[in-house]
Amino acid sequence: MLGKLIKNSLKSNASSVYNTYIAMGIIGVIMLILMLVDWTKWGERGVGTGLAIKVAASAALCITAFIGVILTFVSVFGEFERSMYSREGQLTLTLPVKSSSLLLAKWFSGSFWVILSYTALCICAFGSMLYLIRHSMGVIEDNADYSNIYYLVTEMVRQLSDAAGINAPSLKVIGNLAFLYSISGAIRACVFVLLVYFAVTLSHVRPFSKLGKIGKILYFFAGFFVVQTLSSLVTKLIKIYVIVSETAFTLSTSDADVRLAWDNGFGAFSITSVYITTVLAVVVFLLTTLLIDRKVNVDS
Amino acid sequence: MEYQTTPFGAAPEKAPERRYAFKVRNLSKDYGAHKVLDDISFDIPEGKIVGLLGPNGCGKTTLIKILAGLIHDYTGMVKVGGKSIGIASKASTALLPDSTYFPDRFKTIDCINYFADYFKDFNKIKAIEFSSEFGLDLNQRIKTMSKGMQEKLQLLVVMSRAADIYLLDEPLGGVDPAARSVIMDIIMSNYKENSTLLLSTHLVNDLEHSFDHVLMLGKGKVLVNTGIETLRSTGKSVEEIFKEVIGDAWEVD
Repeated sequence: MLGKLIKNSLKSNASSVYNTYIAMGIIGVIMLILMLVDWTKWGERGVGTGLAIKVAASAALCITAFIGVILTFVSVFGEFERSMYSREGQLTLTLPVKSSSLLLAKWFSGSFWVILSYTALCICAFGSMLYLIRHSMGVIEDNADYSNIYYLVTEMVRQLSDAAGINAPSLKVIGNLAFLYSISGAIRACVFVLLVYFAVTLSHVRPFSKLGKIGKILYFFAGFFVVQTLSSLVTKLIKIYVIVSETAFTLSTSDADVRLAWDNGFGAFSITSVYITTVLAVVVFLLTTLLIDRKVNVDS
Repeated sequence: MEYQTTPFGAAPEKAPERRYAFKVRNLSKDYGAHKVLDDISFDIPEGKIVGLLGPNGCGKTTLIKILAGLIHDYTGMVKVGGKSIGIASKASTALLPDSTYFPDRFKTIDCINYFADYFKDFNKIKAIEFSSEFGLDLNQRIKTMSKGMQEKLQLLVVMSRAADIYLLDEPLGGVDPAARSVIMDIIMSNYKENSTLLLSTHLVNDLEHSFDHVLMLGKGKVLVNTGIETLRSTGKSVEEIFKEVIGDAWEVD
């Protein structure tokens, strides 16, 4: 039954956000075409114009991706409220399924779309940045090395490491760190989605419903504040790091190990906040389920 | 003016030999200062067609929503088909609310597939046949349908279930007199045998011949809860009794 709930939730969200992704796809294709055009055919003026157009296309892609994130948020949260607590709720909440399954399906599908929109934004921003650096360097300095993405990234890492006063980690270590940060980001996005679901649910419970739409925003920020505060408090008290090398992830509780790792071209990542955020997410999930089971009303 | 709560007798407190579709004890529900259901208790035996009658705002829809598991902040005990409100009661209860509930993006076939996904007692073939009888295009989207078409679609999917209990909230609410008999025919000829139908309505005259049992609400109380034979033995029609009993209940504070 959970599979069917997830399938229907994903479809329901898809119908709300697909326009955004179509727009992003079209702009992406236009940008690709602009990339493939040989502007040098039009001489020096063509090269300048080409660069300006490429910059504009990249910016347009990033802006579309950013708008995509916002629209995805609005669609996902709007869909949750509409399907659970408006007239559609009379259908959803009379299904013979556990409210935890219902919430889990909504949470999975909402998080999926939010993470997808984040990923699209990151890819667009990072890709555009690399693309523009590569092309502007090629045009301005005619430096062949900058046309090599691998070289470009390595060079960026080297310069950033120099600025931070540490040994530059290898690309493998950076890849491993990026993996951990992605997981952490995904978990935070999931918690964010759940906090919004909790706030929306609470706003349909008397006496919390009295504040209307403002209530939803207030309850969300209250929940967010509690999670962030508890997370940062616990992170200060309990320190658990993952030391990242090219071949292994090692747990450590020592700040000295972290400094040593960065000095030696390794990386370090604090997992305490991720852990505590996950625990708090479970609490918020159970609380939301309890509200759906015991307190919430569908008033259509 | 005080009204009597038991002119035709409240449900007996103990009747272990009978099975009840609904067993309600000390149910209260308020909307702020307005008490809609005030400490009501009643039993409805299984297998009856029950008319849920009462003036506007007397709590009919609230009661149906509580029985369907859509309202939770009430006090008291409610059992539907012998079960507390939950997954099991929802699996055996078919709800036709007083408003349309399918998402606008759905097509007719999506609504049918949705019910088929979740309700084991749903007969998909029957629903498809129904939609063809009703002239509903399987690929037509809800947002392009008139309110009447949406109501038909909702009725056809609900009546394609072989549920133990049907909760029908004003099924004839916005329907013209010509269509009423068609809809009632559909309901009466398609509900599962021995199941219970709770049918809320204002149209007492049109429907009283269909009822086996009548539950009248007013001023937050159960005014009448009895079998149709008991009512008829008074020599009055349900509508006359309705007017008589509800007449007092109309005198809202």
